[in-house]
Amino acid sequence: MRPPPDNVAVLAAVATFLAKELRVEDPAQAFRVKVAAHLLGGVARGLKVGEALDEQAMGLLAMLLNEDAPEGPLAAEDRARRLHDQQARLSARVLAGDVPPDDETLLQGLRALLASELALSNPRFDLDDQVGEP
Amino acid sequence: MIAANAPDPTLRARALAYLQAALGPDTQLTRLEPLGGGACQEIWRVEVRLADGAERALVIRGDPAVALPGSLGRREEHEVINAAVAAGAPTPAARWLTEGLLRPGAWAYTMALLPGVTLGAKVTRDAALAGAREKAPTQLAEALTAIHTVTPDRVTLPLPVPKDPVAASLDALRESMERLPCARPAQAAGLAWLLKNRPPPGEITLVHGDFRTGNLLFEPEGLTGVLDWEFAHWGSPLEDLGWLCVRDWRFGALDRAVGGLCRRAPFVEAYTAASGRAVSAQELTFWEVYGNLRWAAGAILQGQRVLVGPERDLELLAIPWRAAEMEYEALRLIARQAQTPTSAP
Repeated sequence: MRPPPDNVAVLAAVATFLAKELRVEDPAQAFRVKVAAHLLGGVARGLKVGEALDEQAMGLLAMLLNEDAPEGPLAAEDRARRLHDQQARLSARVLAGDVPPDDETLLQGLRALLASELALSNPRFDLDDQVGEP
Repeated sequence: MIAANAPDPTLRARALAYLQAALGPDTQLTRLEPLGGGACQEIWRVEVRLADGAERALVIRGDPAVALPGSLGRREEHEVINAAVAAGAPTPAARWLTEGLLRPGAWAYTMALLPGVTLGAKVTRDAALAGAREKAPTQLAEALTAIHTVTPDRVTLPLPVPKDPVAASLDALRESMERLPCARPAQAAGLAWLLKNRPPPGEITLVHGDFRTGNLLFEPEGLTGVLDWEFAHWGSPLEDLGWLCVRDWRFGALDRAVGGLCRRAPFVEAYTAASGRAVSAQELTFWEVYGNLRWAAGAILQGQRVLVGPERDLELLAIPWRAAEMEYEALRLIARQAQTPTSAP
């Protein structure tokens, strides 16, 4: 096995270098460097905690679908397939009117689902209920 | 002087002939270079010297090779812009519509290049623009009011007139959601909520369709231009108000819901004062939820698009991840409305 650093540490270090150290004169290029750092940061977080967040999302979706969570951990491909399938079934159910769209459990569950996605894509996203109010 | 990334000589010769036909035979073309702009536009920055020595900075906008779904071509956009200009909207007039200038079959027009800033982070946070932000509630309201005076019974435009503008917008949203590579339950819940809480059809006016920070040009003195009309359509005027409040246009100024420029109350008050339209909190929430969902679906679809050029790939890759942010905001607004006692039927 290769000695450390592992993939997560390398990606995080490159993302930090791009975001905090690299100085680029051209504003358009500088913006693209920021975008690159943001993307790499997202990939690093996915490698580190993506599996755990997928498990959490599958649990939340199972709860909202009123079905049992899968037994035991799934392989990455099976997780992706199951999440895809759960999201499609819940969407269809909501659009068919089986669950009222302002049902508190539904809204809370969906917001928790999005919060776990945002923990990967944008951990600085402000989840506060009062954002932009009044 | 011609920049290093100057176009082929054929285009230069065509552009010169086009500009001379418009501005006089002694017009000289002193600059012609691509302008970084929307991914769905072909934009050229042009400078000319007129016969009397006066210099003019212009922009030529042309049909792109691949247009975004639901976006207007330059030919239609040209008519829409000039109708808005005639109604008093602060936007540069579209001139000298032509076909085949940039590519065979592609339409293009020219407008004045206005000074000012559109960049979200500057517009919302630059100290030099604090005065402009102070005037924002009134100036945004007045610009929208002017746009919304254009109505299909008074102006003929090459745009379909919907029977029910609310239903037409919801249909467009549903169509976007059906094209997503994977279903998004938050969007489904949002659409179901919109269908359940839809307002009556109401009036039909010109809707800019992308009236937001990033497409608005500011100088320290205030708003100087409304740009990017490619999503203009006949619809509910309040759609423009909700879109301006979509969370993504706040660029870090989260407490200023209206495009990172001001809070909702003074803006809505100014819009009502200017337009005579009363806007209830429920109606604004409806169109805000709609706007956030429209951009959530649109962000995912942008990432799906055939990429138009290597220099934009990276940005397009990053956009779909933002969908969850707008979905979260839509659900936050829905939960909030559900808790508001006045929202009871």
